[in-house]
Amino acid sequence: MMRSLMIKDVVIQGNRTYLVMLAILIIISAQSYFVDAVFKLSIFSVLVACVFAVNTNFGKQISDEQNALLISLPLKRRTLVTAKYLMISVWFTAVFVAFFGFRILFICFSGGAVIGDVFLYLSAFLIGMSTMYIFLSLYYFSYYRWGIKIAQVAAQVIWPACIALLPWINLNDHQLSGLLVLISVFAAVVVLLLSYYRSVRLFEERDL
Amino acid sequence: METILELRHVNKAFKGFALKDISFSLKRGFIMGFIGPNGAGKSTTIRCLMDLIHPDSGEVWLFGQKYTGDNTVLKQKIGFVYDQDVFFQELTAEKNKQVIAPFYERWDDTLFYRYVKEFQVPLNKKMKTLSKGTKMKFALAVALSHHAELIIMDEPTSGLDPVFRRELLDVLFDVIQDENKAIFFSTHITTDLEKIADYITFLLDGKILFSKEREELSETFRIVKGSRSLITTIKQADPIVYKETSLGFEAFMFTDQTEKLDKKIAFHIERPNLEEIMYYLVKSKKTETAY
Repeated sequence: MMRSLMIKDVVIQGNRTYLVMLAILIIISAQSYFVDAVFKLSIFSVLVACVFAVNTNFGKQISDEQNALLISLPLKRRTLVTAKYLMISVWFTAVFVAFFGFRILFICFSGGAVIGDVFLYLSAFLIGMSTMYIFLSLYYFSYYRWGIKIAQVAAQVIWPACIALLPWINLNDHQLSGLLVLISVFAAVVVLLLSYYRSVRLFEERDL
Repeated sequence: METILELRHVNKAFKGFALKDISFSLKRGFIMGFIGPNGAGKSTTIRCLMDLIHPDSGEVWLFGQKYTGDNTVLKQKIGFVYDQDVFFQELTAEKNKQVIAPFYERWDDTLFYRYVKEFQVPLNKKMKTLSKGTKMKFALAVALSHHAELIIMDEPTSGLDPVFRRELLDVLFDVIQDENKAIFFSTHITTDLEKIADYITFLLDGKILFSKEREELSETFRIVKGSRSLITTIKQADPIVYKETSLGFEAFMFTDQTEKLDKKIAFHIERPNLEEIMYYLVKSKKTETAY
């Protein structure tokens, strides 16, 4: 059931979203802004992955009617919520791998050398994943608490604001330390657990 | 015959509207029509049945089991059709099927494609481009393709042309030949129910006015017509609804009242159809009376 729900999220995304996001990934990967900037790439992966996660749950094609459909299927409400939270990691991993794949391809084609060690990439991945979980845990909770309209409006405001702010935020690979990774992961786990249990409860009590 | 669906004293209050003490049941092998004017609470009752709404009090029983937090096993046996665009509008009908089918253990692709062909649903078109009638046909194909034992439908015939409405009734009639199944559906088009429903449940202002066998119902009420000279007599009989017409009067009454009248004077007495019963009962607003 969980697998089918997660596949559902991939299917309802729509070809246009995949094509647009792929184009963005390719174009961004080639930018000099990201030269030797694993941390920046990771945070940008978060922003792109958020588009997939938000679009599949709160895009213009989604309304409370689709929730009515899903709840009418032989599924527990808890399973629906769990699938949403699990998909966060799927979207981030897919975008992170694609992003870094393209970046490495561009470096190879331009005759450069790929910098960084495994720790650097693993740190970037964990911090990116944690950031995504913190951000979307708060966002999903707001959806379950205040409804889909608020979530849809918030998405239209928050995402462009993050994109606009990104170049102004000082991110460099020297900041990627073991301590930062630990703090990020710990914060993500706490926020995720609080958000998940509260979201399940709210959704189980909700009338549609 | 086992009771497949039962509501016991279900109450649910919203701002400005409430379902009040809803109780009725349906046995396997039968079709129940659920009628009532707009805003009576038909869709809300169906949402309670589908676990979309949690009753404030009362119980919903399906297949002899009470609805609890986990109804996944029960829902495997329910096919549903809503009067709303519940499917993913940006996806084609085929993709919608691919999304839904894996959740049903007894999903039957052969059956699905047979219904889709029979109903002429274009699978390669996005749901948002389909007409309301075609969407309804698709929903019906989905509802019938996982060997559901209980089919719950909210206004399935609205938006359908008369030809398909007739075909739909034939399909439902075929489904109910399997006496292990039952069909519960709400509708405004009462003529459809006269063709196939075994039971009629009438909801008005959030309350059940009656839940009866169709045959029994048609025996319960009569329409009495007569000339103006008989107006005083008919008023004394305390009809449920009385109205004056250009030719005299029309009165809607219980059958036993008309039998008493009949002995005295020759009134013109008709058996009302479902639409007339619905019309007169809504008009009467005697919602406190259980018929």
